Amino acid sequence: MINLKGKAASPGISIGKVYLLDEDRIQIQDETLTDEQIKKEIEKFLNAIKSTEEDILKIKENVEKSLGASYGEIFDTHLMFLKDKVLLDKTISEMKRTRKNSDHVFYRIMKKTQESMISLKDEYLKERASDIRDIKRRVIRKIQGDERLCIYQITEPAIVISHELTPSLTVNLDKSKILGFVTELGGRTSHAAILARALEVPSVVAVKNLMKNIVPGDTVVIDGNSGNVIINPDAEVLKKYETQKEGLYKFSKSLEKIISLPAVSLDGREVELSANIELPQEIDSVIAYGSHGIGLYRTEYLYLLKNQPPTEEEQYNEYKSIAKRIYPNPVIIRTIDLGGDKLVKTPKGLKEDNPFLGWRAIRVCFDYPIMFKTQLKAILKASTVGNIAIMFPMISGIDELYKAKSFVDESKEELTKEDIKFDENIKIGVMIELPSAVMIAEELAEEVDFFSIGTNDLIQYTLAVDRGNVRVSNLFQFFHPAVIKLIKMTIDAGHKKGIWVGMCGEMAGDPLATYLLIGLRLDEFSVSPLILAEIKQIIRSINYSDAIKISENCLNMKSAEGIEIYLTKIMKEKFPNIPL
Amino acid sequence: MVKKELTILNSSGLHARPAASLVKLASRFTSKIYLQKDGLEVNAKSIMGVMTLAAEKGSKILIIVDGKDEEEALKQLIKLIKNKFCEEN
Repeated sequence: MINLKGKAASPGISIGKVYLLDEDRIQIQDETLTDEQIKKEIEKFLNAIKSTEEDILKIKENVEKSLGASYGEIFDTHLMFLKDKVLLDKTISEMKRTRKNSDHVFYRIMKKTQESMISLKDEYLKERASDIRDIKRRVIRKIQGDERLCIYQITEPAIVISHELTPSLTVNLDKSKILGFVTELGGRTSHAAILARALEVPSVVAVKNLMKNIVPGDTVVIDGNSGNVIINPDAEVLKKYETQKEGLYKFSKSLEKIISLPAVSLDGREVELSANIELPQEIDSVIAYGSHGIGLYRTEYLYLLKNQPPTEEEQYNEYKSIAKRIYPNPVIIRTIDLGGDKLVKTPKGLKEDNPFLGWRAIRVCFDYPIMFKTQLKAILKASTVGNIAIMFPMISGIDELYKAKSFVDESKEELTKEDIKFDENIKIGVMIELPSAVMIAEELAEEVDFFSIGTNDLIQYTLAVDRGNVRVSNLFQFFHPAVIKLIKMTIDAGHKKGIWVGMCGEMAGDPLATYLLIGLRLDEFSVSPLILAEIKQIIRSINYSDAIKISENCLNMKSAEGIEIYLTKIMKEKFPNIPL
Repeated sequence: MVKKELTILNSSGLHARPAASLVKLASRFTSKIYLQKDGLEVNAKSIMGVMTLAAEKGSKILIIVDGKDEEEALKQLIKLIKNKFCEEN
């Protein structure tokens, strides 16, 4: 039994056999050929290139069909490389000169290119080295007549294990047989993590020493909540996880019957329960789990997936298709919330010492008006569906809000000039995620239609804690009295000015916080689709009057730890089955 | 042989799409076309070559064209780079 630890990337527990998507080493013979053989070898090489090209076109098509058009573009670079005439000519002339077999020559040329790409400073180009490696392997497999790499097939349900998961590796896998993903590299936004969440299977990423500890035939347990990966568990551990898995399964089954019911307390307090989404593919689970609407549509993936910002048309199509599927329920689209370095190439020397206090989100948008307006115009165009709202992230003061709103007005004017229709009364909201925004919440509320509290940033900026830093991450506390007071201030300010207040941060999806938030009179909870039914179940089983009392008690307590213990005790008594 | 030094103006530099349009244009001519940057020389008709040049916004590259249609080729390439590969408006 080997215990490994990684980052939890998609929740749930999975137990199963290993399916290794390994980069099996390429074996290359060093042969010297005759003139006659060289001629045939060149032909073989060109056929391999052609056949690889066909494979990639097929993969591209599959990806576009299953994941959406924007994903397919990843493969355009592959195709361009294969069409590189200089590369082909060089390979052929090298073959003629050295009389070596084509896989030998091609491997060496590609390896050199790969190495020179890896050595580049530019992050984007550096990553292209993995495209080069992918191409290299595919072509060599073709030359050697080995199709393994091109058709990875899972025959029975298994947990997919890989060093790194690329779209081209996963595309041909039978998705119904995947029990989970574990990768040695990657983060919460890597391909494996995103795919796992879309498929609703557990996933753990960034697992050190994974590949050297695992062989085909192993059994693994993955816990997508804690990030634990156990290879060949002993009987006791296996039993523990099987019981846990069974419990989770029963619990989620018990939730099925409430999917179409409203999120209303026993004594009649109804709130809106919406979902946070990152990718269009998540819409299916949003609908399946009975969400009221989308409380936070993160648009960042549109920008991260590709080498350049998406066009107005591309964005318009995405926004519109999502809005249509969710109609008549609302879809709140958050404008770009990324660090500037992710969006534009930053000149050298502009490295930020404190990126979270730096050039990100709305601040970047103001510096790149064309990009910002392109997004706003796309949202406005799609708003004719009738259920779209705009939300601005990281507003720190009223001037920023005025400015952001003036961008909306300008975009509206431009569309009017172009004779393009949009929803004249589109609702505008701000994310409340900075302490400064809370302090001026009443003033902000006069300018917008709604608030949505982003707890992750609000806590980070209030408590000065980076949750990713293990030395201080224990200080990141949902139930710190300062955090609770800020939430209360925001809700009260919003209500005083007659607007609704929601929460789209992780705290909204924490079962421990539900009583407290209901008691503080939060109007909307926006949570991950996977946890939606659970939160709904809690809301439907409690009394609003109790929640008010509990929240008052919390407000009177001084210690974060004390509050957490208090809430845990209440939850354990009332909901013994809910995993906390 | 004709030469010209130019500054890359488009924001993403010679990334995939701009590199591809440069290669596509260069490949239309029979002349030999090379790009030089910081002592590194690559064939402008090779996408891999052009990408390994890692020419970002603001970097200077030297275009060297040698062949029958060199004048026209250089003219067109300059136009493409000055127009920022038509990627921005």
